[in-house]
Amino acid sequence: MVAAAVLSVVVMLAAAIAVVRARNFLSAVAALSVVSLALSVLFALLKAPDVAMAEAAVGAGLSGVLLALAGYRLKLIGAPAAAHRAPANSAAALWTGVQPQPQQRGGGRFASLLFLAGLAVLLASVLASAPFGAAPMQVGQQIVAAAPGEVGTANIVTAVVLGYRGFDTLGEVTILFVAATAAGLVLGGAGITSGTRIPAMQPAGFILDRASRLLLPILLVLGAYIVLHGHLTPGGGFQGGAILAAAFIVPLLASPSGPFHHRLATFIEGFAGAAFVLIGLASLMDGKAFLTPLFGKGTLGAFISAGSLPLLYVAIGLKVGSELSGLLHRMLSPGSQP
Amino acid sequence: MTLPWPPEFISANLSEASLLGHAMIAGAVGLIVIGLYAMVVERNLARIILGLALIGSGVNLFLVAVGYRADAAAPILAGSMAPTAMVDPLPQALVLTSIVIDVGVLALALALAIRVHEAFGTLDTREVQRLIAKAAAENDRGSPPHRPDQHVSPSVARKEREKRADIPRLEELM
Amino acid sequence: MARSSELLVLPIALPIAAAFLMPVVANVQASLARWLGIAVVVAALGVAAMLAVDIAQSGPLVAALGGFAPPLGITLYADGISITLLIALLAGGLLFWAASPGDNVRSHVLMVLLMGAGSGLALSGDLFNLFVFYEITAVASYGLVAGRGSGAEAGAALRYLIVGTLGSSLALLGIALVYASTGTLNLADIARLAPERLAGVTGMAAFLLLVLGFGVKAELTPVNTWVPEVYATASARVASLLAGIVSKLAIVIVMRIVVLAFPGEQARELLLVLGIAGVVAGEFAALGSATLIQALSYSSVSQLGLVAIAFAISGTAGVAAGLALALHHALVKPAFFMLAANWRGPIDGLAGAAKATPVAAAVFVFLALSIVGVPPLPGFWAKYLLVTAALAKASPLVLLAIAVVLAAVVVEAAYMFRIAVALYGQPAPERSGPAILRGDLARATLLAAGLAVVTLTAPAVLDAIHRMAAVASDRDAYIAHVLPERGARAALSVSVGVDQRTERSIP
Repeated sequence: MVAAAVLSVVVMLAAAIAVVRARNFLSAVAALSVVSLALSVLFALLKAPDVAMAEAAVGAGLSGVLLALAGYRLKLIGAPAAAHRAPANSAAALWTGVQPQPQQRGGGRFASLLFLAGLAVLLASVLASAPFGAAPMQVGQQIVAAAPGEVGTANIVTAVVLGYRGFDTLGEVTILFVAATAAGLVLGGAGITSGTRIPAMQPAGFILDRASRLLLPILLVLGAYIVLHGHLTPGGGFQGGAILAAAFIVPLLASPSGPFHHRLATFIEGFAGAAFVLIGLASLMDGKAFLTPLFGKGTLGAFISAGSLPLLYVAIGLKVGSELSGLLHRMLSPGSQP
Repeated sequence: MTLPWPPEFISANLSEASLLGHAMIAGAVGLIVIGLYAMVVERNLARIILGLALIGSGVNLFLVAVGYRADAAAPILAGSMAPTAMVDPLPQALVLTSIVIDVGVLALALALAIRVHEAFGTLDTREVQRLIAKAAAENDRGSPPHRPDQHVSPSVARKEREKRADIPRLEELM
Repeated sequence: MARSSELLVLPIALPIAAAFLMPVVANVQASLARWLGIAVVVAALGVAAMLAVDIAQSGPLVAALGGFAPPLGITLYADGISITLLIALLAGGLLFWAASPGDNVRSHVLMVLLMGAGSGLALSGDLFNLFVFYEITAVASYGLVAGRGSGAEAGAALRYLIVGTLGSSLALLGIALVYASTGTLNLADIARLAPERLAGVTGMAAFLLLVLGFGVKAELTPVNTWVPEVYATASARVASLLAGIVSKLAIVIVMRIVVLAFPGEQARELLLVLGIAGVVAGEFAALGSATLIQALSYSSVSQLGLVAIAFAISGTAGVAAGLALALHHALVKPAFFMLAANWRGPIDGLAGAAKATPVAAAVFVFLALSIVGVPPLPGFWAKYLLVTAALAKASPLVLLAIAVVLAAVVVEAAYMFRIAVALYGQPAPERSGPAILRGDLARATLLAAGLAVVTLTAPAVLDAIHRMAAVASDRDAYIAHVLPERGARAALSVSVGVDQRTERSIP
């Protein structure tokens, strides 16, 4: 296990250096996906299967697609490589915006490296001062002991995400919504004026097209399964939602001219999000605190158990799925309004 | 309140646990510092955004490592088994949130970068800074009254094309 | 006696739910979505007023969300300061946003989300939950700064996002260190464990990271490079909200972290140094500014530096001074920005403004006198509180801070005087002075009128500030309110809205 961890760390850091050093943006994005995959192996080794799954689905998969699509529109991908590498500047220049003189290049980079090496030592000594492998489970211990009886989920992380810290999760759903709304506002009506500036994506070949259509039902079932079993097994609304989004986006990647129902996505997004808050408010009406789990807890480990928590995950899954697919579609096809 | 695990365990397994710990800390610090390096050295905004993503990942790794316990199982009950020692589930829940936050911020950053690139034709942060200052100066030279309620944006490269009054608002939304 | 603690969640949850539904409603009728947002913010303001009455009568409110007893679940906590900031946020939102029908539906959604998340910042009593709401606030403000505008706005927003996201990562690292040291995220629980577990080097590193992270929005010195660019580029209404109110929410979080989690002298000295650096940097940059909006942006940095200095002084006096300075700035700076939005361009080019709109110039002079600290005005009282609080602690660093504060008054007076002279100067013969939009003038005048009311009722206001500060600076009372069974002063009888069905023993 230690060997696997060390290997993953080495791969991860090598890929991270590749992210920084890669001449080509697409290579940098691919390297970032490798970082995420190695990271998700490390999460699994640290006995965090939920996080590993989220990192693989969201970090490696979704972020990579977002970056690749953006790179396409930024002409960093599919365009002749421009000299993107900047002359070095010092850490101070980042903050002050003061431009160093061109002849400082070598010295500036060396100074940055020296500065960062010092920072690395400092950071490592601070982080290492936290006891590893001996977490002070002040609250965690109590949650582990109480969660099966109090919340009724076999997956304790789900008990934390939806029960003990359900309010954080409302914030989490909100933050995706804010980001998608802001991105929509920014990208809004812009970019549709001259089609020539945005390189048109070529439709994929027959095989990719058919395969992506075949993938749709598989991904849908998988996503739904992960959402619905979030209280029992690793995974849940966010991981499953990301897969649901992939189900709708993969066919679009294969044939960009395909239809995408933004209006439907907006409706699902809005009502699923409001449902989360309404489930929370229902407890308030019931005389309990906001987001108190409702209904009986059921049998631990049964599909229908843990009261209203699976309902929350369904709402999250629908919202995340529709939101992410809408966001990806906006990145994908700037001009095509339905 | 005493710590809930036997300290003798740690001394028994010290080498392996501490090696794992060092690997995790090295991974987290490495990601953060490499990300910072990208932010300091790069002037291309897209590359700086990649640096931000690396830093976020490093912090997430540290946070999960904080909740790790060498002797414990993943925080999922198999069947209706009685709970055994488990790793701390709380940091894992926090990192789930953090991963989603990171991807949201990444998406917005990329959208902004696309917009900047469309308007200015460059992603060089200093060049962008200069163009922003120029736009602000041009805005200032414009004669009052300035209309904040329909905020008239500074005009730089492609103002005419951007300011098309005929875009229907509802279509925008979809 | 029934307390209204279960209502605490509404100013957060209602705007968020409404924001989710607004795009759907906009499909039916675009203006309906805006009205839904306004209605919900008004409702939240009503709830906040009810809570304020309850808190004024019977002390802080605590709500355990999800019905899980405090250290396990997420807690909301509201005392006088939180509820004052909450009301300022919601009222400010209505003042600056409600009367702007021209915007895109999405920017209305972002504004409503800013209200909901800002309420979360004011009310949350959990370190990670604060971080989540801080991120929502941050992302909403990036979107609002960018708007549908040109590349300049998107560029300013992106450069702001980069600083902000770096700060957020640092804050999360700080939270991870706090959790590694204490094993809890509840602020009261952290406060309980802090003297034992957060006093060391790891604790100080965590504090530095947290301050740098939350300091981005609080405009603290090393992480405020975004300020001039964003305020000069964003619309005046967004700049008013960010500089006036969101920055205060962030700096009050820093205050809570200092009071609760880092009561030691080292943390306070660090904050003091950051505050002094902010005042010095802000005042010098403001003195050299070419345009009004730039001068006001840098003055904002310096004012928040003053607040940081005040919060670095231990005890009720420091918190009271910081609160007074923060509330004063929250009233004054948005009014300044409303005027500055109309008075663009080089300061010397503002000649004739007083002739064109005498009311606006008079309002400007009134605000300027208050921010410099001329005696009967509220700005004077705020600085007076700061200097007296600092004089009571005569450490060398605090004495340096006093010297800096007094020097800052002179510098502030210098550039405000220069601007006022320009306003009342004679315009060049061929052109008249700059005009001003009626809506902006009305908002600025309203805020100035508020300032005048505060001037007339100064003793009552100062008294209220002292009472709020006494509650907020009392660590033991905070612990006792949130964790009644473990508090240092268990005798303090408080009826908290904790669901008592979960009685469990600690293993």
